[in-house]
Amino acid sequence: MTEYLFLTLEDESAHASETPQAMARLIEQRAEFGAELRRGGRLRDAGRFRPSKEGKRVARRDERLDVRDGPFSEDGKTLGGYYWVEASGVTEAARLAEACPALAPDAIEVRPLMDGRVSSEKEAKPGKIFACAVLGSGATEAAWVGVMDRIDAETRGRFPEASFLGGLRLEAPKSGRRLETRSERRVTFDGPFLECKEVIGGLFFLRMTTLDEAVRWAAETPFVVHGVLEIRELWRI
Amino acid sequence: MADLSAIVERTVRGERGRIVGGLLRLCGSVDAAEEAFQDAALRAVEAWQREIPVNPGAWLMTAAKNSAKDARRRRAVVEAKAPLLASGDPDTAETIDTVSDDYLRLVFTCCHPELSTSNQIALTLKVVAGFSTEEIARAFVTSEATISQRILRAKQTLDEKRVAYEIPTREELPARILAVLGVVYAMFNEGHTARSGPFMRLDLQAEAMRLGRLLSDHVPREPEAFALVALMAFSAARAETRVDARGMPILLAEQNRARWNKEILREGLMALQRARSLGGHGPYLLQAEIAREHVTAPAWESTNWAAIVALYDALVAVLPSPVVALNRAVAVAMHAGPRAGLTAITALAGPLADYHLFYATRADLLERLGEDALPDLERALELTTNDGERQLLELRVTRARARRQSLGG
Repeated sequence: MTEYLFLTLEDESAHASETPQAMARLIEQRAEFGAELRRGGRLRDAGRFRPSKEGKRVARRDERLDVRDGPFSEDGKTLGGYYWVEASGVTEAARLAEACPALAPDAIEVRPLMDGRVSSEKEAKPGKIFACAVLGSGATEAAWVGVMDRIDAETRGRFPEASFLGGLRLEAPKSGRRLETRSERRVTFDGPFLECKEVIGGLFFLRMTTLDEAVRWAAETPFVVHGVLEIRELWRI
Repeated sequence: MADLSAIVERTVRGERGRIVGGLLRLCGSVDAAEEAFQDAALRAVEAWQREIPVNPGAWLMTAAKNSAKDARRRRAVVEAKAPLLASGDPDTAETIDTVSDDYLRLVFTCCHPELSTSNQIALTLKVVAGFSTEEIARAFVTSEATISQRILRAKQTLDEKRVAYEIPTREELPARILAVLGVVYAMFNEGHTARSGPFMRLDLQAEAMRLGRLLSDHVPREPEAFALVALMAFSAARAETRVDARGMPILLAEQNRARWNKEILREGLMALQRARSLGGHGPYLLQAEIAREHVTAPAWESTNWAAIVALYDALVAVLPSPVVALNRAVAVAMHAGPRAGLTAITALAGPLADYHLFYATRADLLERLGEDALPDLERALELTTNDGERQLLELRVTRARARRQSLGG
């Protein structure tokens, strides 16, 4: 078995204009999708991001810390949620991802995991849960991987023990797939996706009382020198 | 520096609950804890002009603890005896769990079962949320003196009953959490019925929702906390469509559903899903499920009344109150006709003899059957205390009188 991360990249404005009944249906279908994966022993963890307009992006430019307010989108798409699943290979993973509930303009990235560990008590402990998405850019895959390696090495052990809930490190983007809806059909594309400005290299999770606090901790880690950190609160699901 | 006052205000407001909660044991009384916090907030305004600390919350906490220690030392000198110290080293390192405990300690104290609901609400707004007595008085459309009295009495009660500033034990916890949720919901409903009045006043509904959300962050395994957030969100999302330009209530059947606030609805739907996945089945969850049926119906006519009646049946079983039974009767009438609704309502005439909505509801059912509803409408008008409702009932009484006349009665 290999591990994969399904990342849903969503059109927030399309979601915002859904009718209440469609909104409720999608939320319930997602819960059922997760429960089904869990019943089949495939689900390791899942999460849903709160609206990106509540989030922050942190980067270090020269010696200055650059904190930007949301909303964020890349080609109109915003991180909406993730599922950490087990599958026999990328083909099966992509097949599982096909059933992931989404709206037509949303895309789903299926990315192999390099390694991951998330506390089994992620949802159960007090505090707000923040997901930090590590975004890197690089002209070549080797450069991108180099950035992610440095980030990984420099992040390790940086956070207060009680607040760190684990993290997920992704393989290079070329090994992934991307599902999109084209003329009402879901179509699968192979990586690389380096043509995008910022490619997600992983997620890590913090338990904090406020977003300000999460930004402060993020700012103290050296890795933001190399990339951008998108900090978003997760819904409890 | 406009930035500075914004940072001070946000920090003071955001950190207040957990800092005052953390000081409770050190200071031994709510008053002394509030005083130390106030003192630290004042010092922040001055000190932060020179430099804004990296961690403003931690700065405030340290300053407040120092101020509490100073105050105690002064008292000890005056009283010339060793201070009676509560346990707990004030300088122990803070983790997110101790922060959460501090916040909960304060909330549980302010919502202590020894206090009456109105005192619980006043104390929570004052001590946890940090509103002034003037703001609270305006929100309750009462005098400042009344609110000050309530807060004073509440603090005295805590002293007299020697309430320990502790987090309830595992055995007590579920009942105590329900008590806190009850205070939050009472606060929300207070804001719901008295929405008119001067602007620039504390919005009780918004504050109740903020407290509810914060509380669910601190007790993330409690389904009823999330269910209450959902219930409040489903109601708050409809707030703008509930009254017309003249302040008259608009019934759910006639509300403009396109204008419901979808962002708040999403908040409610996500919280409801969390409550479900925690395996909840309490009264807030059932009420939230009923509200969900309403807010997700494309139109009043396509509401799933069968589902709502079934949910009310379950709710009556866990929350056997005549008001719940009245609401159930309304759903029964929508599902099985006004005659069935009247049958369901009969037994409530005694327990709800002084409740205006009982008469308004029975009048509605009688009117739908083409029967005379005038006596019930007149009684409802007599009993209501809400201006908007009174206007609406006056209109209905006039119409019922005209109808009676045209029938030659």
